[in-house]
Amino acid sequence: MAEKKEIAPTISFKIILFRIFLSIKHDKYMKNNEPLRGLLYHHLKKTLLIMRIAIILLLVGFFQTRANDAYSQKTRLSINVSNAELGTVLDKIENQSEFYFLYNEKLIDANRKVSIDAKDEKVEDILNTLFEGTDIKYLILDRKIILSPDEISPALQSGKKITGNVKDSNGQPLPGVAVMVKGTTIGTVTDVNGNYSFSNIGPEAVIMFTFIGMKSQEFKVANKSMINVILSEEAIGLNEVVAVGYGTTRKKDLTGAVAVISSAELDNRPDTQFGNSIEGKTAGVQVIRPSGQPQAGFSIKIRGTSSITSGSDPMYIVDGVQTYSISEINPADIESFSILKDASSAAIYGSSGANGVVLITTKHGSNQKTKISLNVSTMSSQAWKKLPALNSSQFQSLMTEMGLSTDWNLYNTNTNWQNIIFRNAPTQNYQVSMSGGNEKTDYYLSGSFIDQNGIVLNNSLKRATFKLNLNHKVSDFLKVGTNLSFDNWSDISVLENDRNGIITRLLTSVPIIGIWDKTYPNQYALNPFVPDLENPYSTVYQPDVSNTNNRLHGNVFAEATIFKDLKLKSSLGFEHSNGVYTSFQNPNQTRYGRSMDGLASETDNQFTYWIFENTLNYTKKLGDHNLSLLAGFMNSRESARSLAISSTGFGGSTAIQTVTAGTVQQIPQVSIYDKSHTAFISRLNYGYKDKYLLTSNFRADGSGQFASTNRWGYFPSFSGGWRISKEDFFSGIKSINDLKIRAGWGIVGNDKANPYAWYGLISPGTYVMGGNIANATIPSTLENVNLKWEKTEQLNLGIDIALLDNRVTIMADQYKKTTRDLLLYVPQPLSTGFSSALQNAGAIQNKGFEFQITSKNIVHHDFKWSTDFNFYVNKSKVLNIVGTTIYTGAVNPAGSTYNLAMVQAGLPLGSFYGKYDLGVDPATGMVKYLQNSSGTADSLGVIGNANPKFSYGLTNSFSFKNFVLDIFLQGVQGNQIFNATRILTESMSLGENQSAAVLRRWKNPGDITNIPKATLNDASNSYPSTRFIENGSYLRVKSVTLGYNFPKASVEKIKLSSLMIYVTAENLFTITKYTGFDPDVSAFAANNQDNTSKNAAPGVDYGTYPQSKDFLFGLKVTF
Amino acid sequence: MKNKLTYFAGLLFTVLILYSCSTFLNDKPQTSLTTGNAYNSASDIENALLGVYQVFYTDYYQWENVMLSDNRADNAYPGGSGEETFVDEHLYQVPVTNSHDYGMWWGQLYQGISRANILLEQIPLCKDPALDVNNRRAQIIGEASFLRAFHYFNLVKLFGGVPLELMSNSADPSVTRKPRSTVAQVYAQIEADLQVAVTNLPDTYGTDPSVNTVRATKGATNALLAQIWAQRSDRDYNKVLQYCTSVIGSPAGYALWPDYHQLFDGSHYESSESILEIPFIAGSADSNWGVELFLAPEDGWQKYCVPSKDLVAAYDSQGDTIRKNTNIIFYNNVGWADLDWSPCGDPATLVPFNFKQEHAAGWASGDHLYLIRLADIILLEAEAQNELGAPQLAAPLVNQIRARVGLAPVSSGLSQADMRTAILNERRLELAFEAHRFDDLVRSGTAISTMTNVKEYQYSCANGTLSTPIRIIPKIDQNHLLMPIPQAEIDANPNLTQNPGY
Repeated sequence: MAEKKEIAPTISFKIILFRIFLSIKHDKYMKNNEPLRGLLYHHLKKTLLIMRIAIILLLVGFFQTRANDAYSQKTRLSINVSNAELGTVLDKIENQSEFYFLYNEKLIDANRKVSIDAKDEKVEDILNTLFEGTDIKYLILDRKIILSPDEISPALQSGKKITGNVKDSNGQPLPGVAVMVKGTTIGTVTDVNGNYSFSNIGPEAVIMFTFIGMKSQEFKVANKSMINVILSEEAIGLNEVVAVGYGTTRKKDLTGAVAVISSAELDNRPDTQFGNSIEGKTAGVQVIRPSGQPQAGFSIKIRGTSSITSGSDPMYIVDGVQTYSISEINPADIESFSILKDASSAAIYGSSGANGVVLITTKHGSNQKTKISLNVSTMSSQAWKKLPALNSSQFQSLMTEMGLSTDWNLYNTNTNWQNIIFRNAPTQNYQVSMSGGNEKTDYYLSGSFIDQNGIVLNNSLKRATFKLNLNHKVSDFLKVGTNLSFDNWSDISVLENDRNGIITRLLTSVPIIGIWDKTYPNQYALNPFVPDLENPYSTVYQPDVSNTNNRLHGNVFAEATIFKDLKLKSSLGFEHSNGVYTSFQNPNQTRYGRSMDGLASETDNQFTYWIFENTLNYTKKLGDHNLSLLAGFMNSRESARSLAISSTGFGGSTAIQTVTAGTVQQIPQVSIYDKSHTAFISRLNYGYKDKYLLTSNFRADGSGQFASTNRWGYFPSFSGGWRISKEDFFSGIKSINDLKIRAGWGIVGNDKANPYAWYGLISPGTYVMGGNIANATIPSTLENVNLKWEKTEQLNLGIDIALLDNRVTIMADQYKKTTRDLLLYVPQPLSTGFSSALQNAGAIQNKGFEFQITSKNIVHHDFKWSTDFNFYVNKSKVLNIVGTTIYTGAVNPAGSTYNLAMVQAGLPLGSFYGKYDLGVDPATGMVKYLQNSSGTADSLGVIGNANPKFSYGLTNSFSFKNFVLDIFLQGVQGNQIFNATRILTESMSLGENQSAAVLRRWKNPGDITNIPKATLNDASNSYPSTRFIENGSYLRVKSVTLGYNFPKASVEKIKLSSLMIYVTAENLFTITKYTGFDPDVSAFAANNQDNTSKNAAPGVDYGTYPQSKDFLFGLKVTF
Repeated sequence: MKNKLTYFAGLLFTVLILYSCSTFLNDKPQTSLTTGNAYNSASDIENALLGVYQVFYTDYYQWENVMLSDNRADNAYPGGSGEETFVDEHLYQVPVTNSHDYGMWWGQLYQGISRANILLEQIPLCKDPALDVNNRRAQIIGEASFLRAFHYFNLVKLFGGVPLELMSNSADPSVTRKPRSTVAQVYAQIEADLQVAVTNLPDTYGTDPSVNTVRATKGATNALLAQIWAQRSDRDYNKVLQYCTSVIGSPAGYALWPDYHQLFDGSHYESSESILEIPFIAGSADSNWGVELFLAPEDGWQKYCVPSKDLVAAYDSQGDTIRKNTNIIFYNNVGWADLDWSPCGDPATLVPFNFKQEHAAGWASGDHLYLIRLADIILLEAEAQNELGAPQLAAPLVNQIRARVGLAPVSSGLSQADMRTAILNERRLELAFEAHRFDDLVRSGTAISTMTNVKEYQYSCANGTLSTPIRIIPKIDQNHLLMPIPQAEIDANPNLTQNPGY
């Protein structure tokens, strides 16, 4: 067999050759009495086979293994054992790589002692060594390796004859499958063509087909004389290795709720930020977009919101190290995500696990030939919707009706601000990576640059990233490595979610002015009726802002194998970022700038996080028992520091725009904080026969956020899994390939509150005394020595099913999550002098159901179609908040502040608050509101619910020959949106422009309409009410990608290993009844919003920057 | 080698575990003090005291009190961009959800009370002997008591009976959810605090007027006592008279400043007329940004507290040019349509501004604000004399004030009723935009009649032509003389009851 490796350059080619090889053997075996004819026939057949199969398999193979091209060629293994059992060596290969073995344990002697000293060798070379001098041959199919005896001699029997053929689900004949009569020792094995035959079998007999790595099947003979069998593999995805906290596990061994997104799925959609890769791809994980600005990023909610006034973002861990700035991660570097959703999987991260954990594993090199890939794309973005606003004559008639007038001759333009401010925004994205290694060292090196522009003028983002992952084996005893990333970020953001923000200004800016003032050409034109509102063009360009940030993130680690099965790993992880934000308000151009005579400000931020972790890992396999133990401890600290300075009074000059040039310097503001953590962790994994699985975690967490008596929190979890399909009684069920039920319980914690949470803080201040500025101190928070951990208890029940030859896999989970001792900023009567006090008070519950199905609908050589569908429901309920009510989600439409959301026991988080609109009174044109029970005032209460009844995502992937097509749909159903933008655009109480909806306004008694009359300086008609609550359901064609892979042969001619071009459309169209710009935004999800609004006021649109429609063209090259 | 490393690793493990258990988790604030270290020395206590004064830099005292008084009464229109807060206030329609009502009127006044409470609780605990030099400890107790009374006085005028919070050190609902006390109980507490203050406080702190007019003094306490005994419904004009006399005869030597305009020109603060004022330094962090909300049309937006036609007429009818020109300034070409003065936005039309402070200085004015000045106390004494049946004794007091601005004296032969009207009007002209007018109207029992009779009109403008005026009659009634208890406060303290009519 030694010659085989010389002539097997690719997987697909090798398959062909092996099939030919098999057929030669077969011919020799079957037709040895006709040698000449057989040979001629064979040659002819061989040619045809090569021609036919080569074409098919080349293409199929390419598609199947697109992400993992020639795995066996690039993977190098090192094994050094002497006199070990063959089975152990095979295990080692499986552990070191993604290979797995299929064989008949009766024919392959797994106990045979072998010795091998392989360093940095291909699997074929290792197998050649292992099986040298034996009759065992192997077949490598991507990651699957089939072992069978060279010569298979079925025992021939007499009597009733049963024949048949055994194939795998791809139609590949399976040689060496054990075919046994159940309950007897009678048996045979399949030959090289998968054929078998039996004699002397009674009709009562049950025939069993078994093959390691495949699911066994049984058939009753009855009166059949031929039984053909297709054996399906043990669900292939189940062998996938999944990152879990402080280690990895096989997907099939999972007992908690973990969602996995692998590189294969990530490769299908070129992304600028990784939130896009997660969105809609997995159940129970909601990606929230605060805005469509490129720099706005995203946030993730896992299984609802479990906190009211403290942070509810999950913990993000990149290559083992927590990160605080997810937007700066280059999605192209990501190999896979593991999202730990339930307490049993997140408990190992006790301190911040309550909101779930997102584990990100970046790409690594391996013992392989150097691989370079290049991905270049260009994108054009545009607003997918524009909203009609009044034109200048409609505006003039509205103003006249309101009693406002001006010299219309001076204001005779007709500006459509959306046409001026929105643009077709170009984006360029470059990505290059190199990976490789040898037996001792492997590396992954990448760089990227993105220059993205938003659909609003001036709004832009530039990001450059650099990444190095390096592993080095110093000796058998010691391994060291580093994961390092450095990025540089700069952006220009525009104001939104505000009365003066750009999106509201598009609709409320009067059409009768242009950009520049006619009299003072150096000044932006102002609204003659409400001159304190700036020109929208100046909203975009003034102040002139810049934001740059450099970030270093990663770790260095060493792993020592103290003795066999026991490893000590020590890792120092860190994140350091350094940001500078500057702004300069021109002293002449804007009203505000003129009143300050220019305003410059600068804020410098520094953030440092480090974590020192030490873990001991012990794994032992004893017969059917698999045991693994983990214990460790860690110290970590996050430190932040910022300095803000500003000045005014630039004497009308713009020559120098830094703070130093202002004549009036403001007092610099400094803020510094530290948050320290210490933790001890432990985990036990136990598995019996792969059938019964148990995981238990315990973590003790100390937090500097609490006074010394309450620092420690203890977080246990237990979870178990039962693979029912492994039970004997299940073996007759053929349609189900795998069935596992899981149950888990655990408690996780949260200490996310403002720094120094328990202290009563006294801030410095000043007061003028004796003509000088003198020191003063000002109490700012109430002390609470009893403050302790917020705890979330979670119960999870799950089921994993693989059906129909593993073509359909289903995962369903049900959970109940109860958070108690909430770290709640409990509203205090202001009569205490404090608006709130941080206490452990109240409880909140989330219950939900998640369902995910993956189906390979068509698995044809030329044409493949697969579907992923996920669906989830989450219901949140505030159980109690010490009898109080929290109002949040404040907007400030016309001088007064309104809270749009309320939090109260019994209500879900995300309950909208306001008045009940009973319609426009035809007699008066005024809105009638529901009155309270005593009839003295308008009733105020819950007027809507931001929570969807359910959310879903649907991905259909097609491949036809060299083409791939991915269509991804995503939607939510049954939620409501508070369209607070309309409070501004339909109020008709101020001299601002309004949306075209007000053309339907009430004008004369008797008019029947839902738009009230214009009422100057009276905003009572536009009080936040049911009038602005809208159906927020939508179904969005989130992305469509069409790609073409150039044929391998032609690509290789130009020395490339692959070449793909693709076009992608993002947000191609949206089906929704929502009347605003975009149903998938959330004003209070923005980074600068307070936690309470973030958690309790989702689904508010208040001049929120919409997502864009993007068209992207890209090119991917590997060589 | 392998063994050594194992031992080393084991040792490292142990050391780190021990380390992690010690002081690693003791995170300490670096940019703030804490309750544990903020009140230990005499200077800590002095700093905490200035923190109590610092409440005078909040919105309430920088400008909201003027809106609540002059705009709520007949001295001014709300202006601005028609923000409902001030239009509502002007029309007595403040909703229970009004955010200024909650955060600024109710909230900031209680913030001042809370800081005084915390200081009063901490003073006895401070063992620093330096605190007792020159009786400073007692003085500080007096200052804090005075300030607490000052804020409670504003609260009781705005809201009626309010919860009496005297500790401010707990978040325990059984302590914090206090019901409202009665108006009388609140006044009793104010009186009690002021008696402590009047005992503890000196007439002056030396010779530096920038201290004597900025810190609470015996004179300021007597002035406040006079004000409360006049304002409360169970008023006692004998006490008013007594306290006014104490102020006027104070060893501090208060005297009317001869030039009315100079009082506000920016160069004559901390004068002999000033009893208590809020100091600012231009361009500093301790500057007065409130002025920019009233003045500086060059900002390009309509300012708040636009002097009313009624007020301008009041000055004109007296020929009172000095005070009119001190308190009001007219600009043309303002760049917007003022609903009351220039509905069609004709650039030539003059629009008036609140000119009590003259220097907006780009949100960083150095203009001080008077909290109590002698002219108010002199007129209060006149009021007491008149109410006690001696209009003839009131007249010379009123005439002191009039003489300064060159106006003819009022006759000492006026009837008590006519003298009452004359004093009220004199106070209006003298104290315009110093946050007195609404209280004066309430005290004299004329708030409802005055506001119902005031001739206010709204116009619209169609194609440059003024429409017929529409008379605006504020919906003022007895209930709406008080502001609503903020709904958010009731939500946080369910033991509160709402004022009638809301």
